[in-house]
Amino acid sequence: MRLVDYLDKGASLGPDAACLTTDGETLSYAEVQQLSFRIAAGLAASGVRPGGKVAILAANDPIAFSCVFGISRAGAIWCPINPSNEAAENRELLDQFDCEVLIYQAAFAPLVNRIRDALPKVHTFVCLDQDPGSGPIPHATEKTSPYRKMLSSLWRESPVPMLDPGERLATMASLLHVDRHGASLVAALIRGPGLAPTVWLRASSTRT
Amino acid sequence: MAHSFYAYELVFMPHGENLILVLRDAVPIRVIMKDIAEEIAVLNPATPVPPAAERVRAEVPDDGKLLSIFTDVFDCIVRFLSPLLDREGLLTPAEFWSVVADAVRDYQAATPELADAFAKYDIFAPAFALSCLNRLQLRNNQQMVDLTDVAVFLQFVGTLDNSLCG
Repeated sequence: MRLVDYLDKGASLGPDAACLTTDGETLSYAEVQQLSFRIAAGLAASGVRPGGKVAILAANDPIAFSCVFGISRAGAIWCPINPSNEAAENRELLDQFDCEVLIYQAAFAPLVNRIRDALPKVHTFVCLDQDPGSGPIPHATEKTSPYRKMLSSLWRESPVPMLDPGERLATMASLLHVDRHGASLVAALIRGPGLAPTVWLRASSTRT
Repeated sequence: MAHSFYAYELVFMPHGENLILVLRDAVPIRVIMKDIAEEIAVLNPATPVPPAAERVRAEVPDDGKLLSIFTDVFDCIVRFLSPLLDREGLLTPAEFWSVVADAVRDYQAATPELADAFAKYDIFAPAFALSCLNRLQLRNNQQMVDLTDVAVFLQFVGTLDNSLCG
């Protein structure tokens, strides 16, 4: 019998009976059974086949333990790891287990972030209790993805708050812009204050 | 840019995401470095870098290091300024590069503690390798250059005369 068969037997005898209880939070047999189906389907959709290895980094928690039933229902193998281990030790265990999916609680995200780069066999990381649209997603793109440059521009700093009254900003490249008559911004700037061109250029060269 | 290179071997392109001029009365009075995080590199193994930022360190052969100034500053930006000023009758190319060279010389004279670096990486060298940045993306437009190992991607075609060496 698989582990999940015991769950199904319990659910058939008393679906509303308490199955997992922690700190006043209780899931019934029917609820855990439903969760286990969803988790198993999610694992299969992520490419986990029977015999695939899945680990959970979590404190004692009904949802996390329901994942163990989900792993069993998917025919996969649960790799026991302990969140109180050193990060390096867990990394080595996960690697030697050939673990391919790591499920974790947000509380252990710092630990996961320390080791995820060194876990080439893990193709899917699932955070149990964080909305996928929130928080850092450090590896949403491949290292060489052309989208990285575009994405990084989304959180660039604005220098505007650093300006004093009367100051303006210009990029180096903007100096090269020319209008339809061929007149350049850099020439317009030089003519503006009426400085000798050498003095203006000297000021610019010294600062950059 | 020169001081960033000579003092720390911290190199980056002076595009508007990294470096921005502050103008007062149309004169650049200071520059702001910002978002010095992606597509930058620290080339000197001796420059201290916080452990969390250690990934910005890159190994580049000594003879390629100053290309961060020659290519990214002179070839990609500064050389385009000169013909604009020439065309509008403000500065001839000779005058332009003379001012730039004087600014570099005065900077070097004012920073004697970096004399060894100035000698090792000669910004007045008569020519430098032409690094074709545009060819990097043309060769493979599906993938960015591996920022952790830029040097292997560079493509060199001949040399450019160094206008600073007047």
